[in-house]
Amino acid sequence: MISNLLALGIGFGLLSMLAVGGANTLIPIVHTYVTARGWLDDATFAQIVALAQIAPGPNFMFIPLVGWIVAGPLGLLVSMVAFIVPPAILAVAAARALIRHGERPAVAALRRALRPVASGVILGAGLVLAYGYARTRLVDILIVVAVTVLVLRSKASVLWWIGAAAAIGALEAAF
Amino acid sequence: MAEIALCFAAMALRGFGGVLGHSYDILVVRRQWLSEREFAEVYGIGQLVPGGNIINVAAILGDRWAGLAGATAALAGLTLPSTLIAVALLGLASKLAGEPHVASAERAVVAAAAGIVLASGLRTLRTIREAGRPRLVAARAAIAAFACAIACVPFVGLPIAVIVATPLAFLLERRAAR
Repeated sequence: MISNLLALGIGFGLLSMLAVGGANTLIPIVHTYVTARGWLDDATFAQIVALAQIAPGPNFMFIPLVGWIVAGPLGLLVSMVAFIVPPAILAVAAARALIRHGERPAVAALRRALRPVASGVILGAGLVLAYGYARTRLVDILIVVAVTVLVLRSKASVLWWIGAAAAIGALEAAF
Repeated sequence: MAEIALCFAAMALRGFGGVLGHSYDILVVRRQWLSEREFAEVYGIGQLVPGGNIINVAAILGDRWAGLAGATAALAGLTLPSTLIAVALLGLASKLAGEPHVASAERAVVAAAAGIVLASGLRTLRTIREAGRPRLVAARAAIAAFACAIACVPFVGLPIAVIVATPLAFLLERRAAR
């Protein structure tokens, strides 16, 4: 129990600092982490990722849900705090510093430098996710492509595309 | 303090499919706690720092309004109620786990999530054209491609990509600005 809590706290604390461009970038690496430790199987992990997308709230929620499955309420709390606090401290420090040093060229350079890195890393995460979950069924591949295009082209809430995907997935199993 | 927590809780619970749009609506349009420019600035910092964007925004604003207690209230309001709802939904979902069409729908939703991630990567990629000569833009694109390729390596790829590509990109921007 204690060792699981430590592994949740340290693991998600470290991973939180790698979540460039948001929590969803971490889905593949968290998948590897939790399955390697034998905490969750592929199907359960898919379930909590799907839930974190559908349920209202920030989509980092798959992380406390892992904690909940592994170690109950305490696991949920440890995972949540471990994931939230390190970046939040950094964000608050950055916000305070930017008020004073926002005009410095180094700050502007850092801001521009992070864009290509973030875009590359996010694209990599998307590809790993698509490869891991969508390559065996044609309908999943089509959903990946269609949702990518729709999100880029349309201003509608992504919830519509998630709902449509769920409906298509359910129908696919019915026939 | 309670007002901060409630405000972020309301934002999170309205946030089906992402909280950010609602945060703009509540903070700037309805309550007018922030100007449009302040919102953009805070959101920019939230994106710059790793972690959930809206989580970082909540921490910054809570801190600005009421220090550590404010940040704690904002973060708790944003994350606790919605996570408890997700736990309740998980109980429901695991009862249905044996059903083939539920499992199939879940896989399809993960495929949709992959599409959402890919789209946000492509959207960020568009911004590298900003304020750059063609050679600079090409170098930025090379860094993005490098980070993407490394990040595809299971488990170790993401940390290596971030740790190696960030200083490279920073040096590039420093040289370009000269």
